[in-house]
Amino acid sequence: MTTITTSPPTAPSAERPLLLPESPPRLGPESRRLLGRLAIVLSVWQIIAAVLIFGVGGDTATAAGTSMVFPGAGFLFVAAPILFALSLVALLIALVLWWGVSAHVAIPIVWTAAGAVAIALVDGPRWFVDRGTTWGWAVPVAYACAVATVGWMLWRVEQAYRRKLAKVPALNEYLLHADLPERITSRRALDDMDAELLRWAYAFAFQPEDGLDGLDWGEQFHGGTQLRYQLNSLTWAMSLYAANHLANAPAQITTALETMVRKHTDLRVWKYWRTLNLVGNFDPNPDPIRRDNIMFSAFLGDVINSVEAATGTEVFDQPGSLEFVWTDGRTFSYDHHSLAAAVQANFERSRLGFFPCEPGWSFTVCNVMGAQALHGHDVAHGTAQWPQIRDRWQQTLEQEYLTPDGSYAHIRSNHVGLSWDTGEVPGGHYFANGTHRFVDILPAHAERAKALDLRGAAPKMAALSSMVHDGRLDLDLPAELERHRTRRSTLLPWIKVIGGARMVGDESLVDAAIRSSAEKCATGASWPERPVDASASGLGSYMLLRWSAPLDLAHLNMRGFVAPVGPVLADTDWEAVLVTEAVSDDGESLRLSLRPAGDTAVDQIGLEFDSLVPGTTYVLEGAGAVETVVADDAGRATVTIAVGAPLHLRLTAGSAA
Amino acid sequence: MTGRRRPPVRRALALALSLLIPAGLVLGFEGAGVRMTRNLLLPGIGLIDGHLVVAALALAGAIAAIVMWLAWGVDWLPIAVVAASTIAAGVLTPGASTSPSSATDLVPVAAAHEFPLVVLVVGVVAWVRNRAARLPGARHLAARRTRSMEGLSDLPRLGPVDRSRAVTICVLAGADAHERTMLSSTLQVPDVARRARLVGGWARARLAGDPFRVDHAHARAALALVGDHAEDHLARLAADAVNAPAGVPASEPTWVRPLDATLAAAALARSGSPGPGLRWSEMLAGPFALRRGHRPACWWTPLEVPIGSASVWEHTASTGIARAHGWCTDDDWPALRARCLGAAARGIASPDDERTIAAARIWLAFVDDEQAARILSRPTVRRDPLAVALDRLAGRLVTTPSLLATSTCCVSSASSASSPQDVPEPSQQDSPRHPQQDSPQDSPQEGDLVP
Repeated sequence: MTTITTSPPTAPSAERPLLLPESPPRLGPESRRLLGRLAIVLSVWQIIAAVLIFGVGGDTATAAGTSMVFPGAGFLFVAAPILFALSLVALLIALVLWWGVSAHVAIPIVWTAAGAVAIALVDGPRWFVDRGTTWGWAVPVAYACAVATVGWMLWRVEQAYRRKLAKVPALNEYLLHADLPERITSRRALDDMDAELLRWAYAFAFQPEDGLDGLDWGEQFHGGTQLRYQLNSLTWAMSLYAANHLANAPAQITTALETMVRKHTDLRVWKYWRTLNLVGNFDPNPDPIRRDNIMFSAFLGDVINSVEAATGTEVFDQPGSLEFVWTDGRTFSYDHHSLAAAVQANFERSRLGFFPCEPGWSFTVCNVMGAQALHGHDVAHGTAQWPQIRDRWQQTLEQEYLTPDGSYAHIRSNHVGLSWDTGEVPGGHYFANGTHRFVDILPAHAERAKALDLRGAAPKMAALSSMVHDGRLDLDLPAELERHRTRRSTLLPWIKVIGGARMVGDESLVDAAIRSSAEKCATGASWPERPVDASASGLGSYMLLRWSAPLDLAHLNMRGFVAPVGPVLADTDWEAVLVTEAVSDDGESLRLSLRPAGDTAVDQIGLEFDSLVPGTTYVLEGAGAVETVVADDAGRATVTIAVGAPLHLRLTAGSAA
Repeated sequence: MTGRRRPPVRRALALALSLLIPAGLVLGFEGAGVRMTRNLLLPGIGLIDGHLVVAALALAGAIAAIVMWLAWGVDWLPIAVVAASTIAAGVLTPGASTSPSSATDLVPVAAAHEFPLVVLVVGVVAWVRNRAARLPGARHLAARRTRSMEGLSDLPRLGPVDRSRAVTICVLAGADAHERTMLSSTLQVPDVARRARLVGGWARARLAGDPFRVDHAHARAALALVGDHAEDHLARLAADAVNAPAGVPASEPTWVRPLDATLAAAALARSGSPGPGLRWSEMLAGPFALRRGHRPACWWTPLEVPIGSASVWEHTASTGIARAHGWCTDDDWPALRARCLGAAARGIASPDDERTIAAARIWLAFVDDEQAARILSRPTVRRDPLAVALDRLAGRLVTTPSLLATSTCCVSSASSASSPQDVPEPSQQDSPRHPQQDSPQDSPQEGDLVP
């Protein structure tokens, strides 16, 4: 494997973030090759245009040549300026389709079609001028447009490169002395909003298997309403809840998480892929895993990693456990292993090193998710898929996507090596992305990204921290447009505050923001309405941030599944009570919080405990009541209690009977 | 089969007429005869020279008449429209001679009669229906009524035909006394009898008397199973079945449709008589046999010809119920499987898909297909009342595969039995096949119908 040259391991110490390369190239080798190929094709195209204009001559050849010099310019030559304007509009639409639905042929089609029509109009009628009129000045104008366009693009790229390069010494100086805060690992005290969110999540999971109520509906290509991402975020959030707050009562949430993973196989979630594959790859195969579509396969792989790490379920390791059925009945069967294998195969097949989401477009964030998917699979199953591709993946990240200031380009074309700002992320670049932000796959890169992110976030968070009073952040934050401007929500600015506070490690600010956001954004509504004012994706992000301690997603996946220690609430009437917390802090006792699942109190309910020390007397106390039971030979015991309101109980071992 | 059927004679007669009438017209009326003959091929075309509007009206009238014939069995109407337009073509369009110059000119019209247009209309209607259903938003619009339905409680909102079918299926699934009362009440709504009266009146001039005395298999099967006069209805249904060419009454005059016929046979089978079941089993192995993965949509009794392909849901439902009775083998499942899984993937947005899913679950009681069972279990059948009825029956059959088993056994399509003596021993107890079943029986038992 090629050695990494652009970003040497210049971290001064294990604690210091990785430094930035001081003389980074403008382009990586594969991007250079792709752009070189594009340049050759365009050069040949322009040579042919020049031959037609200056060699062959005549109106028809000149119209053809002018059309080739700049899209639609042939219309200027044949004195049809309105058609020229329309062709520019068509070109803009083609550009959007190129990115939006991978219509790689859209721009060539518009370009050549405009030329063909211009040729056809050479001797045709004109608006406003005589039949057969030609404007010779259109030729230099076409060349001027072409030169201006290419020059403007090159100037923008070069200017951005130089601007970022100039920052490198200062950034490296900062990185040398950056003081990175510790991650918050203390477990938050859960409140009523956590219970409401959990109740909503269960209602979502336990609706009929084909139900997707609770999600936002809309287009599935690029908008903010993709069902796949909404499902991803909700499943990740519940995985964190399972790992952090219900480790010792896993039964119900494990079932819920399994159903949520299965919802990813619903045709409505992945149906978009057939259109993209057909338009972008000319491939009618609707299989959503086999080729490209990392935005689905890798994300689903990472979701399963999280679910397995949180609950220990092995359901999705069974062959055929993920069945994608197309409208004609064709069935594409996968499981956790074959899913990871498909992701790895796509990585290995890609010349760029990153493989596409939409055909021909490789996004950094999705490929980070792909790396996470392989890493998490390795942790869960002892495989070595991530190490097999890591060097090449890192090379692509650092040589093809890295820009001098440490940010990475959001997208790159696998066909022509171009990147641009799609408007999805500010500036089209970011220091880190994906749910783990490099923490598991490239820890040193994660440190650098965190340090660079902190430069902007830390001062703002410090200002907010000074506004915390009585455990609350008394701010009225205005509603903001959510991703892709799908809707406004009052929760979104709070999500940013909580995320920023977590990044800087300010626990009091996190708690205050969580508390205040719940008070200010609560809707009072119940399923299928959302308990807070946000989209489904926003709701998922909010739950993720609320429930990210002591384990966040990265550390959950790095840890893998660990069986619970101490007493376990094995069974109860899960439909009657909502168990909001079941944690053993010391490995011997159990802290248990529960409340009625519905509006009515539960007079009697049995709590069946497992993993107790056989023959030992256990005391369940809380809310003024004390119950004593003796564990049987199998380490089980059942206690019957009434649940009329939220209860916080503690099961502790007494003495041997 | 009984010895009273004489389809070969009728078919030969029809063929002879379709050859002789054009020949007679051409030879007898020269130019006018040629136009008339062309008009037989495509009503209106004989009027196209000089009477374009009349020609268009004739064509539209012929299409409407054929649709009415296909839907209600009004067979005299297309004959009348074709005959009238043909006579008009001969009378109204004198002028330029179009006499055939040689005998070869007769060839294109030699076999012309209204049948090509029927095939064309059936094909075009099916094509348009299928294509329209795929248009963006079309499925959404088509399913808008069903979207607001909530299962059997909305049974009265179904049309009389589907309502009757749903009632029969509910009874087969074991509706209790209370439910039977409710089901019966949905049949007492005037529109059931009104439809029967309309169809009987238009098709056969049955303007008075009991509208259910003949045909209307769907409604009569339901009436024979629930209501105060169920026994009377059952007796008359049985009597009608004896004389019916298919062994069960037609849905509309001359049209035997597979689901209605299966339900009628099922209703008759509950009286303990093996005859209708046996004859329907023969029909399923014969005229309604599986060909290239499809079964016919209907069977026209005068010439005993199958027409079209049954919709997926109707094919799945009728054969599933027939399979539960032991009237057919498992041969349909491989042909239906992919289409059923596709329906499961699409979900219940369309009532046809919802019915297909529910009907496929009936099949799961008899075939060992774990993957299909998993996939078909995903959608929740809850909207369309007929689908809910099928789903309820499927649920019963999964736990009790022998629920509908009769003493009548299927007839192999490869070696169609011609007499009761040829029929193999009946299956009394089907072995459960569904993976969700807890039964220890895992392999076919003696007498099981699985090939």
